[in-house]
Amino acid sequence: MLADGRFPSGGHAHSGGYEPASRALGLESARSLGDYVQLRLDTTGRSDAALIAAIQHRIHNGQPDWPQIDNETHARILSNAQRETSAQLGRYWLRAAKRVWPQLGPSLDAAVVQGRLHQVVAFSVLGCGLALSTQDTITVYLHHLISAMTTAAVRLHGLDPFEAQFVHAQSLTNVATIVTESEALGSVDWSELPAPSLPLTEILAEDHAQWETRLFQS
Amino acid sequence: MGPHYESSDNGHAEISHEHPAPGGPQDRALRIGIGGPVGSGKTSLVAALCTALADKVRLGVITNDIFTQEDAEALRAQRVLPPERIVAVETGCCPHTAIRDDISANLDAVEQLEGSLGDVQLSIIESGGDNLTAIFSRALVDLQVFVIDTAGGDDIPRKGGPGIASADLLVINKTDLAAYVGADVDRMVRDARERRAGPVVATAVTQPGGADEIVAWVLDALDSWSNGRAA
Repeated sequence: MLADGRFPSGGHAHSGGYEPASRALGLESARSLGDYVQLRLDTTGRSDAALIAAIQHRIHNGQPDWPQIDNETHARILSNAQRETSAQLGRYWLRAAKRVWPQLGPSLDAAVVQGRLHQVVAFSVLGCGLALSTQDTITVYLHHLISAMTTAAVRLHGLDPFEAQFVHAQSLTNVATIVTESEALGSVDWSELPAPSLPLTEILAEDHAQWETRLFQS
Repeated sequence: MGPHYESSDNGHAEISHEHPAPGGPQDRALRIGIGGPVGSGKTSLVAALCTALADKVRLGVITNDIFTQEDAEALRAQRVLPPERIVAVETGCCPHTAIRDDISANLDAVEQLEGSLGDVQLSIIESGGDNLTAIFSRALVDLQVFVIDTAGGDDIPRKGGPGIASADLLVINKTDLAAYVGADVDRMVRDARERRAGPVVATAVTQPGGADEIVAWVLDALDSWSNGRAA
């Protein structure tokens, strides 16, 4: 449930950037959804996976410098709209996780820096608290990211749900590769962490935030 | 056609303390949800409640919109409350999800609003327009009002559903339009009473005095909530 969007943590109102991308790039088919999922995995997915590895490594070492972790995460989210979305979803995860696993409350609260907890930080702390391996935490996180896009495509375009699931399933190889590559990044210096991004998705996120009518918040 | 009001056998609805919001201490604001189908008059009812209550009760309002923040903007434009007391939640295609299945965004919004204002006694959460099954989670609201209208068809109460059957107050709105759309208000009230034990108000909330009975119900609920808290 953590991974597939059924866990009630506010993700249902977000499309993972698919709504603005589908309009700007004319994405309506399962194939174009697959291309977009791949694009997001190769950018946001890789960047967030590396962050999870780095954050969890520091938690396991007992030296999480939360202000620095917040800063490093914040710096890797380039658009203000995406930063707000990340902080909002982080808040939702914090509330939901504290409700379900009250024993994790103190460690989650410790990661909040000046009222802000980015989603990827919340997820990293949650993964450690639930004794998930870094591999599993990243896997779950990436499936969460993918399902935001695939379910949005079903709602926006009436895409056949089985085709959407097929796109999700097709991304498994890519997810496994990212997991393997990211796992080793836990101990590297922050400055060496990969943070691939595209101007396109960031620009589309900024534009989307200004739309007068939209079905998804992001 | 004036508004008329039928109360349940035991008078006004009682407030249940059996399902407090998770983590929510009882010394917080009373939270009332306003739900119902598209176009039934939810925003008009919220505006009428704000107009009637603004001088008596310190209010906060959360609107839920599928596409936009239009309902929040409409309320701000009507100047029924200071703009900082009205917050919009965007529901991402599924208004019922945001009030029932995954209430994260609404809980976050209501807690932030109550926290930032610090003085809220009553939070009104308006659902996006939905269908007859869309009810609020008891983890989000303490009481809920379901709004249907005569123009939606006078067979709606007979069809029933969770909104009609289980809401703490059912409002049959737009009685002033009933004659124009061939709706039988008495039948609607009768059918509604068969589907539910709680109170039913048939009225036109945009007409002068049209929201009076609902305002009285809210004040009564607020009084019970305050007393329950003191006890």
